[in-house]
Amino acid sequence: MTRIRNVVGIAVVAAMAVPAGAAAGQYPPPSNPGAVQKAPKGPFHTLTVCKKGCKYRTIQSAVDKAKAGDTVKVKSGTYREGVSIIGSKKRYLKLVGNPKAPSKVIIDSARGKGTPRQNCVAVRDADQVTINGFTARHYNGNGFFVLNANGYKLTHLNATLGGVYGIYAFNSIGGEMSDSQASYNNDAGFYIGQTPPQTKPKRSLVTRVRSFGNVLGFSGTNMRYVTITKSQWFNNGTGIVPNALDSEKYAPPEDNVITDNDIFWNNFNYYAGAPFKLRKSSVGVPFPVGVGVLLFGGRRTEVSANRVYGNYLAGAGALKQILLKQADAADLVGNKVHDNAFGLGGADLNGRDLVYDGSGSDNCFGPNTGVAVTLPANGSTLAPCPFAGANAFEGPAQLEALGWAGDATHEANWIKHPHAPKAGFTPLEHYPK
Amino acid sequence: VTRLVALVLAGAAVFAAAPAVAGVSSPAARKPQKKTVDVADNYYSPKKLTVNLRSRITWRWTDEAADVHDVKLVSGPKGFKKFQTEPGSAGFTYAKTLTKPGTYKFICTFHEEDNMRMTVVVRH
Repeated sequence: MTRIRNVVGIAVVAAMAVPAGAAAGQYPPPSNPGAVQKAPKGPFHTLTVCKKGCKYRTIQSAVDKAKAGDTVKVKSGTYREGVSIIGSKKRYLKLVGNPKAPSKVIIDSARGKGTPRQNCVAVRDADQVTINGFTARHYNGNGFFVLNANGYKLTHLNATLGGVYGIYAFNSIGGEMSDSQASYNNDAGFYIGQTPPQTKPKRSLVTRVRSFGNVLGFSGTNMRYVTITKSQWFNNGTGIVPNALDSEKYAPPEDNVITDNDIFWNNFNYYAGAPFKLRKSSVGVPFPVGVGVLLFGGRRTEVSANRVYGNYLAGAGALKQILLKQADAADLVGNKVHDNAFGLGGADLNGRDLVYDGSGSDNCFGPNTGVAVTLPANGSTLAPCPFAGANAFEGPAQLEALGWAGDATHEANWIKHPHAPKAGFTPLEHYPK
Repeated sequence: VTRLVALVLAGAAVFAAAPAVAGVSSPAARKPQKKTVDVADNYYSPKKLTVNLRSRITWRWTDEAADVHDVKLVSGPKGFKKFQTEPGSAGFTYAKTLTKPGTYKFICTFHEEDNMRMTVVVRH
């Protein structure tokens, strides 16, 4: 869940806040992925799916017949269905399309009549499943989705024109999202949410992906132990947003690394038009448009060695999650933003390079290169690394930054600069009508 | 024997046609119902529902379901098989007939922490 509650109502919400545990305890917690399911012994089989001449003409029919560890091989074509892979009997399943050309194996979940298909491929309670070499499109919910899994691999995928998330893992650990692309999703292109805390963490990896044209390039609500690297985040409303929310368990996000990425031109004002139907959440307003990386609450996130440029509102920001009911998880603690290059050597400037309200403790910024404009303007909150102790809070800076979310035009606070040409890329601010 | 059967059947018919005793509902007064529950960000509405046996509940993901939600039965009467819907968003629907009397408790897997829960009581 990526939306923040209405900033206008902050005071009211804060006044009404109750301890998170007040209403809890009546139900058991969600299934913790726990220990990995036992590896199957085989013998393993390959079930082949194609439109004509194969035993299986739908992907779901082959998945239903497959046993743990089997491979379902899908030949080129467009498959109009939604596929569910559920339960330990499907553990270690491999669903393989065309890893070299994912566009040749399409799962299209559009449906003219009746209740719309929700997910192109959904995995639940099945560990170590691989999905490799598909394009998902026109899903009402998610493109590729993993829930309650210990280990998953989502690779060589393309998720486009979706209702909510493109490539998504929830309440899962030890996963990989790689060599994939997500575009034009009504929420986040990539999303890892509600990672259970672990004493011996299994990290997840997001690498060599591209995310563009989404409301958010990457969302990480209460996400843990994730490394995001060697990827491109551009032309989204906001680029990468690890965030703390009450709506999911285990706030705040912790121990994540965002390193060696290109984060640029995240100025897509989807309110002015988008290739997807914009849905309005009943609980709030979206994150502000025009930000490269935003830490909205969180602990021990490292943002390093990224190239951040051409984001009209801010290149990188860090704000206390002031609306979190779980007060002890609201503060920014131990986050480090260093060795990033802002503004492409002066050729493609951010509106502001660094924004930080000075909340929390042990947060540090720098050294970075190309930092020209900050909020607060005098940079008083931006303690250089390493830093220990309480940071220097600046209330006016916090109010100004939070106010951006309430801007009805979504562009009023932009500081625009011309972009440097980039071969193969076109800036997207307003979707062509 | 034929006459005896006829008498028994006649008696049964009279019994069935008799008005319900005050305070005790007749089977005819407890017809299965059709009820709709809205699913949105992040709540079910209504949050509590009391229905007759064999009522059919339809969960409808409204336009305010911008995020993903599901409906998972976490506890219910003995003998009723637990279920969990596909995660869905605006436009999705799912229907289930509740065939055992008792209390059914549902959560949204994604937003249980936000108190997205509901209860259905099925009476005899």
